[in-house]
Amino acid sequence: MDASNSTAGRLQLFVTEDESGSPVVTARGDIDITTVEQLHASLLAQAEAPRTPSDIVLDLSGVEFFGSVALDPMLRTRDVLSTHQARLHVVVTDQIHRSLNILGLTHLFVLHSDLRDAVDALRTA
Amino acid sequence: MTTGSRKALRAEAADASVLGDEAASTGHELLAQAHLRVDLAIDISSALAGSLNLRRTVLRLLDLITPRMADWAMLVLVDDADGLALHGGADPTFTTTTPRPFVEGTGLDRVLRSGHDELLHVALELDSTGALATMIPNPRLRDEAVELRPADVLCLALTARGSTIGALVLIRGAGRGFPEEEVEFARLIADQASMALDSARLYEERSRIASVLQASLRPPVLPTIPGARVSARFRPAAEHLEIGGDFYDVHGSKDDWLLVLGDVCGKGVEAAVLTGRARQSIQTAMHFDRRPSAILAVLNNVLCDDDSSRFVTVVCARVRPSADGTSAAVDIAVAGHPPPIVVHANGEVGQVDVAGMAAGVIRDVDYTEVRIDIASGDTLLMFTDGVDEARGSQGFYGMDRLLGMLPAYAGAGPVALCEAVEQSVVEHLDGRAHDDIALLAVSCER
Repeated sequence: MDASNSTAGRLQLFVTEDESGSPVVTARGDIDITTVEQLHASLLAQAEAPRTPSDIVLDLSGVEFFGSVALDPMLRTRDVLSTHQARLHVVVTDQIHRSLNILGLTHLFVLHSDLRDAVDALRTA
Repeated sequence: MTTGSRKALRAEAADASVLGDEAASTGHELLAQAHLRVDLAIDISSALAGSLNLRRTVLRLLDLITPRMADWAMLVLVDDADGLALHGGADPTFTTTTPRPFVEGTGLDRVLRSGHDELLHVALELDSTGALATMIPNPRLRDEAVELRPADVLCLALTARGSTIGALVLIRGAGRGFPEEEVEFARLIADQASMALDSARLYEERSRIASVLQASLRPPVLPTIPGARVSARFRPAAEHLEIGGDFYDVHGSKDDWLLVLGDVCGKGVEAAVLTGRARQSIQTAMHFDRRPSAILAVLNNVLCDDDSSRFVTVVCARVRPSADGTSAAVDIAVAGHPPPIVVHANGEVGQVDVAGMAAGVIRDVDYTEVRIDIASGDTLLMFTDGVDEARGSQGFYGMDRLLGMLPAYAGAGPVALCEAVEQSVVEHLDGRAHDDIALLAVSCER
């Protein structure tokens, strides 16, 4: 798991697991054209990992800048997961929620306003 | 070049040439010659390594070869248009072209086809024109060569990445030729030259392709719309290519116009290709159904048809000015894009209430469309997220700041409004890097 942690540049990524073993990808900092590749690598590594398919949590609550480029890895991850009937849970700030709203993409992810909600949702799923 | 200067060149060449001084028999002389060769090889490799400009590479090469390796050199390059470019001769800056069919059956043609070098002995006593003509397909260059009275003409194939890209024709004057080991040395030089020339040519080809594509993706010149005024501003992100990212277009005729402003997710060549596809799809779609909601639905499905997960956000406004220029009916639909803002003549400012999904994510999306009427003095402003997401030392520019500055420009018209917004955002950025910023505004003509 440590290999997918990344603290380079202005985006920090940490990968942990919740009690049920579902991956939780935590992002802090800026997701823009220069850092989106890290998010891409980290999310796809989890989505394509050879294990029992499970939902993934992407925690964006510590993200200061959420560029629309971030949607590219998020949509890809969603596509990969949906082939296993798994879902991408995203913890969003109000700002990110507004961005997703403008993009008209809120219904494509399971959105939560804090990490506890997201983990609870995984447990009850 | 005059006969006198050519003689001078020969005299100098005889002193410094690294090639085939057959008279050099003492160990001393042979060693000196070997040194000269090494020096030349080093000079050529270092001089050619840095240049990616084809013309400059050609000139450098000719300059290095004459007089140290030969008294006269001509570089032949095969060009795409089935012609041959000839460079050099007595004047290194001389350049001309010859159609490929003109050389058919000649020695040069053989070298270019086979990729094998040829060394032709020139009969000194007889008229040498024929032998030289087979390697030099240009009268001026041939006459120069004949006058030098060479013993041999050496034609080296220039081969790079498996194909013969040209040839190097070398001549030494005053009855001298090319002994075997000198041909081998010339071969080494030719190999280095081939790589340098090929790289330079490849680079120029790519630059040309990029600039042609770039020209086709540049923002358009805005048309004159009867009964309305339109203005646009585009400020590309400095650190990226001037293509990809934001785009805008104005299509239509007479009293029915379509204004489009969009943002392609990502940057670089892939984004530029997507930008082109989006713009063309919109232009094509509007010929079948001019409603913005219908156009966006088509765009969405077209973009969904390719596997890329990239998407496009677009705001699409159909503007139909009244005949007297006092109002316009505007139908608006958006695909994942911030809705446009109406700046009313009385200073009231509001964002149009419309939403829709970004295009290219999921097939068969229905887009909602709203109708607004703008009256004389009202301006409709479309913008990309480069505006509200512009990040200065005080944080994001933000929608509040944008909405807050606009009332001061009520009734100012599209040109002044776009200028003011751009300036305000640029001041906020205070020199910081930013994403593409695009603005498109329309009002009725008063």
